[in-house]
Amino acid sequence: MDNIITTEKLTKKYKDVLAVSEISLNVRKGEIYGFLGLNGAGKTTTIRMLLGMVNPTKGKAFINGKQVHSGSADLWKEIGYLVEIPYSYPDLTVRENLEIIRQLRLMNDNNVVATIMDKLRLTQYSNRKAKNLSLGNAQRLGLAKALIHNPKILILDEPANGLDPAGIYEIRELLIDLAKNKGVTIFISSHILGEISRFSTRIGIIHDGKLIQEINTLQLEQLCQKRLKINTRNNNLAKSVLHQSGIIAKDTADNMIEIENEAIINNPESIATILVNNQVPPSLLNVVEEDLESYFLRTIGVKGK
Amino acid sequence: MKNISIALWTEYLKIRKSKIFFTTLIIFTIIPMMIGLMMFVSKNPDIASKLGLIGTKSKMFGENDWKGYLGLMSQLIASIGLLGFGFVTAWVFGREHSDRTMKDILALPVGRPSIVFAKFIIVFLWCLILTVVTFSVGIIVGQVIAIPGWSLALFSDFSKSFFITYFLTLFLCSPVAYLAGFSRGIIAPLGFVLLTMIFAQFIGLVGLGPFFPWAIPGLYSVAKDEPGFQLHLSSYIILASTFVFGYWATLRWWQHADHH
Repeated sequence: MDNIITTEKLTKKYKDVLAVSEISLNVRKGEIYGFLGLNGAGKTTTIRMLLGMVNPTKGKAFINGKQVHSGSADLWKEIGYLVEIPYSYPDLTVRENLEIIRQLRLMNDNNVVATIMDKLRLTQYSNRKAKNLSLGNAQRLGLAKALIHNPKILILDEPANGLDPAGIYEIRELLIDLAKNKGVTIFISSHILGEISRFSTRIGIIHDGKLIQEINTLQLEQLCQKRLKINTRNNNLAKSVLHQSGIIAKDTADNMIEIENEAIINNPESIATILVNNQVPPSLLNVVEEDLESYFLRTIGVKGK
Repeated sequence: MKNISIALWTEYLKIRKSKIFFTTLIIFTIIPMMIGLMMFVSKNPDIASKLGLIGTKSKMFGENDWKGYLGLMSQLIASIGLLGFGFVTAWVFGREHSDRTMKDILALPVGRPSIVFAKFIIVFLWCLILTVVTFSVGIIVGQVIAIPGWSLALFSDFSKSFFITYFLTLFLCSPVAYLAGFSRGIIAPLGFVLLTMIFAQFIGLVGLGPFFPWAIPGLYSVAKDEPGFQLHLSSYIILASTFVFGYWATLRWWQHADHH
């Protein structure tokens, strides 16, 4: 069985608010599935339904082929999770907070607490009370709780929150290592496409509770729009010249013109030839690629073309 | 069973490291000391007259002997116990919401029913400790201020009544636990406890106390032969049913509610 996480038309409705609408997705073994959406898009509600914390109004969620429900105690042995901002018992130390999770995960090995603290660079804070931790270290403690039992499945909700760039890099490398070398299946939510695309194998975009697109990260670059930006001494004349050659150019906000035709973008020298031959030589010809955030915003309809 | 003992250990660790536990210990130590002080004042009218208000209030003992003193102690565990035990329950169950740690304990192999059961056990033990402290301090203070009329038979009757009142008061914890979950915090269940205390007074006054769960421990601790104060078998059934219903509602909430 290849599919580790499966949802079938998973739906959650709160009175008049449709938080999650008929989400069907599959996450395969060893895959890092990036679950992308703006705040309030339905990411956390979906994750809570995957963890049996919220009951679906309609649809089902399966993990390892077993239907998820609140009493899936055996299922939770294989799952590590972090939901939203991690909080810990404020009067307990880092070590004690992890000790509680070790016990509740029915683990007999006493060394796991020291091991996970070492892995997440928390050893120096082991005797510090959770209430005195920085935001970044509180996030590390949350991740330590999720990873303490070397789970086969990780469900992480915005795990990079509060981490500095070095911490984000460190966690990213850790997750890549877990997926690539240990076959861990990772379902990770984020609202930053640029970040999640760096290590996800597949990305699902959720907006207004609906899964609007699923893409392989390798395809992502191809989906980002490219444009050929042109500047000349007389852009109106240039536009007219190009129009006579059957090429449509549009004005841009920065007083240049641009072409979206893919064939032309892949062959910009043809434009240079046309313009030079018509006495409006280009002073700038630049192929501009849409960045990932623009692609994401365009996909969810927040930013137009 | 193993899961319950593990969950119990974690609850113990959470309590041992909290300031609340020691705060309740101090409060439940001070209260019998205050009653002892009032008895001391009552026994010594010359001091009472100099103190005015406290001198008047100290007449609540009736006779200034062990019988009056222990009678008040029994009522104390019923009234202060209702509030104190309610607070303990609200804290044990509501802290997971106020500390926002609830989500961390919902999807674990130990299982939610074990955690709920362990929380109830820890509430019972915590309240037992508070009861023993109040009982011991009360007896020691009584001996120190040399209250007259001590007898082993009186002590035996009082001990039995005191701990049965503790036990009956515990039965009222489960609705508080449910409310801590339902309201996702500590404030609402505490408000509920205060409300039930007020209702218990009014309902007791109109003679329906034996049928109102929150009045039953109080009635048990006072004179039992007066009309409207007599507990029936149905009183105990009502009390037990309240606990069972509260436990069932708490468990059901933990297992089936949407946890945000």
